[in-house]
Amino acid sequence: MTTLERTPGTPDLLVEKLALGELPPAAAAAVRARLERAGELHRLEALGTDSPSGSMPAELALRIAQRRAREAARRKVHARSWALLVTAASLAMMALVIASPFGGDTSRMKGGDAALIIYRQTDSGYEVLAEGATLRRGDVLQLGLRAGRARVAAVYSIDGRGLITEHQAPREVPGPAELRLADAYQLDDAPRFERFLLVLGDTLDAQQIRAALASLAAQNPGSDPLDIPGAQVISRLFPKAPP
Amino acid sequence: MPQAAGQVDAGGVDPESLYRRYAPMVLRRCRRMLGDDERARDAMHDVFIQVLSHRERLTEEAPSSLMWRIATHVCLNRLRSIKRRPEAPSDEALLLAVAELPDEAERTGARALLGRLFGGEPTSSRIIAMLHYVDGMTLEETAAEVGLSVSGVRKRLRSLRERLGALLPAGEQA
Repeated sequence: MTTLERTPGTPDLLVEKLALGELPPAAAAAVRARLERAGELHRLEALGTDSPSGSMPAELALRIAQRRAREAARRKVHARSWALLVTAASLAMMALVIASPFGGDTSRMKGGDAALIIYRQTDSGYEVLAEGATLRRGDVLQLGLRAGRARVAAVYSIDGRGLITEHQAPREVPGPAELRLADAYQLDDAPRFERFLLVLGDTLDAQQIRAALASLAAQNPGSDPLDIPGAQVISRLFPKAPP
Repeated sequence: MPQAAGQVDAGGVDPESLYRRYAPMVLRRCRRMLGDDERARDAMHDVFIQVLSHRERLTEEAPSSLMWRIATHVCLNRLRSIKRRPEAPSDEALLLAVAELPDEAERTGARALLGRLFGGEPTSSRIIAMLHYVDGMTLEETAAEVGLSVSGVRKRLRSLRERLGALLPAGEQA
């Protein structure tokens, strides 16, 4: 229920500004006098005792990082511009498990035929990225996944700057068939690598995943495992060509 | 990547310090407009996401006004998405009516909205209405807050009268 009550005297913003010390001296004196006249100095004092924030929550910091990653580092490209047709043959290719020459990361195929599939736009259409393929700034990628026996899936990426992008929040997936994400992405100039992570489970806790990603980003995002208790993680790491 | 406490990034802003200083004010604003504490906290997060995601544009030394405007905008949008309640008291009805006012920025997209909120363009009439009619700021205070002349604010409010009509409080100053 909204609890709006009209400010009886001095507007809230002026009281807040006075408490923050962000009013010019003359205006501050005027607002203080106004509060005194109205017997409202207690409102100013109350602000000092009402400090509900503390440090910025890790989840909020992560969401800000994600937003910055999306808006400053990636230009969203609508998937419609290069609709992909996925064939059974191309999916079979994705089942290959090949050791990456970059950082020792490996594509892991667990839980039946679960897979994280990455397509790259080419002049003639698209290609399915093989393990160890080198990415470049400007590459346009689209992601697809197969969840195997899992009911819920989420997809993230993390780049060489440690910026995290949430491509798909945890959501139920419609069976074992491939689910192709709606959007495509153009890579920016982040150095060294792009790593894609598919998280699978019967249930997934978005906050838990975000916390684990934040921890990963702060450590070794190109090599450390993403540990989500009770979840299966498929990680695919691609080196990035120097600009 | 989330920033460590006290770290200043290329935008010249320390997100942690900004949050510690302004989160209480923003949360109070959101609580007052939305009522529900959980919704208020969620809205507060949206405010900081908007501000800190574009912190390169944050040039004000004392950004309380900016934070207040963005909080107001976020909450108005959330109120608009909430179905009206027939039992709403008059002040709440006024708030909801302001929330329903068209937002000029929406016609030109999110970038224009950010420019507006960060001071690059005039503040929306919705926020002017909120400051004057709901928050009880005088025309002079409202004008100072949004960077318009008093006559400019009066002109904006005049055009809103027809929309808000009977909901306007007695003795309003426009």
